[in-house]
Amino acid sequence: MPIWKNIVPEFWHHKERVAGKKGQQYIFRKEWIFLIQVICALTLAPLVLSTFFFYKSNKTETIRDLLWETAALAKGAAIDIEIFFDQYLSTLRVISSQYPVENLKKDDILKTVLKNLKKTNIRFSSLNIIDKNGYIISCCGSNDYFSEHQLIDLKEFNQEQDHFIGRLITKSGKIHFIVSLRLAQHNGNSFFLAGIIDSRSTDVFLKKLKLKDIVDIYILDQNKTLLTTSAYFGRPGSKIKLQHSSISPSSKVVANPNKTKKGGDFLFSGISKVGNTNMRLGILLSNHSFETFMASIRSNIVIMASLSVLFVSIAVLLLVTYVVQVLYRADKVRQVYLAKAARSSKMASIGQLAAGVAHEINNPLAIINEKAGLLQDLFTFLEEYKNDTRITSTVASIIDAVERAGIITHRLLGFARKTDSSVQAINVNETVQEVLGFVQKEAEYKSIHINVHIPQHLPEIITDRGKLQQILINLVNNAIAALDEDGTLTIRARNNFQNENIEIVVQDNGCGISREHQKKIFEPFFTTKTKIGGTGLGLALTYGLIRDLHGTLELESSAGVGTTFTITLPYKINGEE
Amino acid sequence: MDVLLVDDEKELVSTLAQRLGFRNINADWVTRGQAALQSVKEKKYNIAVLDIKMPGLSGIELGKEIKKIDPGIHIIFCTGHGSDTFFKAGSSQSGKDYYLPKPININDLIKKMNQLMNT
Repeated sequence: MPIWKNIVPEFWHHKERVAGKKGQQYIFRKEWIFLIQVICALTLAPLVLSTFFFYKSNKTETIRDLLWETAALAKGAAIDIEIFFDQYLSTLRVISSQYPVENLKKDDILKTVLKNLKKTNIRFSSLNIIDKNGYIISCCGSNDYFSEHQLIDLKEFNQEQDHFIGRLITKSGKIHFIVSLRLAQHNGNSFFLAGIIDSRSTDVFLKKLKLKDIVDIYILDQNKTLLTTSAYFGRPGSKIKLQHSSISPSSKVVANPNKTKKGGDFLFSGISKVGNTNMRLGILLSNHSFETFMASIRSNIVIMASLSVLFVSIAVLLLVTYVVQVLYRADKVRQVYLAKAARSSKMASIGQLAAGVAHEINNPLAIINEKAGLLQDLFTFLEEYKNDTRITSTVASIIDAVERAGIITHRLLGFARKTDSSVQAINVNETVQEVLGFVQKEAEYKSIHINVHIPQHLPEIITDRGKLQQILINLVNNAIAALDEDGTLTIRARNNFQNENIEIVVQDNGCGISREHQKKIFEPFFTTKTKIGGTGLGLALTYGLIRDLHGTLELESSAGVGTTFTITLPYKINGEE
Repeated sequence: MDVLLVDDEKELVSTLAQRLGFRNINADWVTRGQAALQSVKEKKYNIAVLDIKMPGLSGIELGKEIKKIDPGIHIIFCTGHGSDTFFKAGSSQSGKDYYLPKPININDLIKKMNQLMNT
């Protein structure tokens, strides 16, 4: 037998019938599917919802963490660029300490200083001395930044500070950076030593700050004008449209402004103020970290959810199958009782009918009996007929026939009594003989030998007579059905003192029951007599009846050898007299 | 021995009475309960044989009434209805009486009558 046949529950192959029509209250397969669906929906819906909210909350948390990280990176980069400009400022301080202002006003000295600086990392593209009104007094290096004596806009210069770091827009519109230091003279005049840093040097430095997921780094002025080249926002001088809060540092999620560049659909933008300047440093972070983290969360959730769904589904499947199986078995028992009740009712009706018929027949029989008896008396007691044996023997035959008819009516009445449920003292031998009376003719037709071995001293038992009769009738009928011609039916009984019960054995040497059928034989509706109208209820009912009498039923059988049913019944039913 | 036979089947009781007569048993018969009570009042009987199922007074009721008139009388019930329960009902109400199923075997009847007379 394939393994799946053992796994499929009993109810699965249960024939579907209209509920109630033949006692079936449920269509089990449908009930099973319905329950599976409902319970799965009830258990899995919260699981799916909680998984969804877990994912959403993780996404929000991750974005919050990355925004914090973006702001921190922007702050760090702003500090780096501040240090970068401070290096240039410090260089100017060193120059101012080495050379008096008057000397620096000379172009050739400035030139020498600039030349010497080229050997270091501090590479000003030009050095200039500017007066307090912004006019250039002397200059060296690349001088295409200003026209001669051009007024430098020093509005942004904080007069209280001794230095200034900011942007410088050349006459050609190019943007560079200017670092200037106030040089105070004894006479009260003040000049400025100003160094110009080419924007390319700044770009090179900014490139070095592109760490981790930073895809773009740029410097803005207070008007959101780009001061360095940005991969995403364009060349210096472009205005960018980013709404950041005034708090420094700040960060936010922005749509990718340049879809041709990598980084994803959205980026993390961070902005931080650069020292005491009016400049801002901006960075853009790709969403790579975010996507990677969310992908790992998603895969974890999918694994967890799949395992949970699998576990819940298996649990629901097993539980529902078990419950429906219990329901199915209970329904089977219910059907047995329904069938039993229907049978009892039918038997009671037949019994009443039989009793009525028997009673009605008994009266004319009694008259025939008396009239024939009178005839017999006349021929017996009157001398003139005494010797006519023909007449007396004829009358004797009539009386015999009446007696036989009487036995039949009494049996019918006995059958009617069988439906009475009354606990009383029962002589097992008499009950067995009564039962055999019903099957005698059939046994004779099949030439079946009936052996009864019941000891005379077997005690009477207090039990339900009707039920015991029905048990014996069922077992004897089964035995006769199993027997071929010349078969033997043996009924034995013995007293079991120790256990206070008696044992009744109904044995035949008929066809026997196969091992496979033995497992199912007490199940309701199991029958091998499908072709001859077996209901499959006989042994199930018998088993139930024996249980009602607090007894046990054992089966021993082997195919081709015969079958032995052993009934054990207590001396008396508990609680009954 | 004087016996009173009571059964609504006239053919039955009259014939049975004749047959008992052949066996030297003096048997009177009636077909109604009331007539039976009258007979018991008028004559002393040793045994009354009563059919249980009769129109009017049933055999069981008649037995009780007869016992009231003559407590010493023995009663044998006979019936075409063979229910044990029915017999038991009569037994518990009428004391130690006998029951015979119909059709009656006359030898059994005489045997039971003799047993009753000897108790």
